[in-house]
Amino acid sequence: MKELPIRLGPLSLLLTVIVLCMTTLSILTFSTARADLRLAEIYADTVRTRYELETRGQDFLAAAERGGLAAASPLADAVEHDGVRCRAAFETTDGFRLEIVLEQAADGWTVREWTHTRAWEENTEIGNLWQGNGETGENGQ
Amino acid sequence: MKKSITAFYVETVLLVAAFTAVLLILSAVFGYARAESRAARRLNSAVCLAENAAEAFAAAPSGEGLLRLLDEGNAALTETADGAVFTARYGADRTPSPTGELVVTVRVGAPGNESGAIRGEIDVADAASGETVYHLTTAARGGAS
Repeated sequence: MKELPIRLGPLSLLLTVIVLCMTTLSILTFSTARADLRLAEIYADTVRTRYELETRGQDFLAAAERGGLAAASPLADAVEHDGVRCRAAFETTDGFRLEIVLEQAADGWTVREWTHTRAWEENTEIGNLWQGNGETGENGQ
Repeated sequence: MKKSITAFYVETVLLVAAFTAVLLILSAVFGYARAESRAARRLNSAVCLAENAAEAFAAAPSGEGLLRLLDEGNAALTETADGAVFTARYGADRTPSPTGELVVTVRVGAPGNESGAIRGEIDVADAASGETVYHLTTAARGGAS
């Protein structure tokens, strides 16, 4: 009986391809999981900051109802009052801002605005794109 | 002939050993990625549950109103005798479940500061380990119940 020789060359090649594929998949899986966790942490920090501002706003409102604007003003970062409406702003170091507008009513203060915003700068770097204003690009087109 | 067979065996053993080593390393990487992914999902769920509880607290800072808002058919909802601490359990998919893995605790604080706003301390903890996953502090000026 004639024995066929077993060659490991093709098997090595197959295993190498499998290892390369699995390594690529593992790197993608790991980077996606890390990105997910990082995003979840950013979300958690954002919510915490938002409720920190909310707490300050509620404190301001409660103080205004109990002791008037004189008692509430030190609790806000900026206060404007024109006799009828009061605009108060609260800010955090990372750019979050709460702006509230209260209106004087017979039985206290009525909330007219309660707005959470965040400072945002538009990224205007868009490369050498045609701006649509008739100017030609570098290659004269 | 014997030399050729020995070389074949040595090559096979080396190949298998190298492949096994790579598999072990990749298994560790996949395991670590799975743990990170689970942590991200758990943190997301905890933040959502804390936000829900904070909004319920803002709508009704104490008493029966808060109990009614937190009770979504939740068999695990409990309230202390003085009505200051509410506890509810949720599953990983954020649905109320008496055997859920996340415990949301809302502590209604007395208006301790000068303003008079009521403080709400919200903790979302792992039911098995008791470890706090997320903590949120909020306040509400009303006293509806």
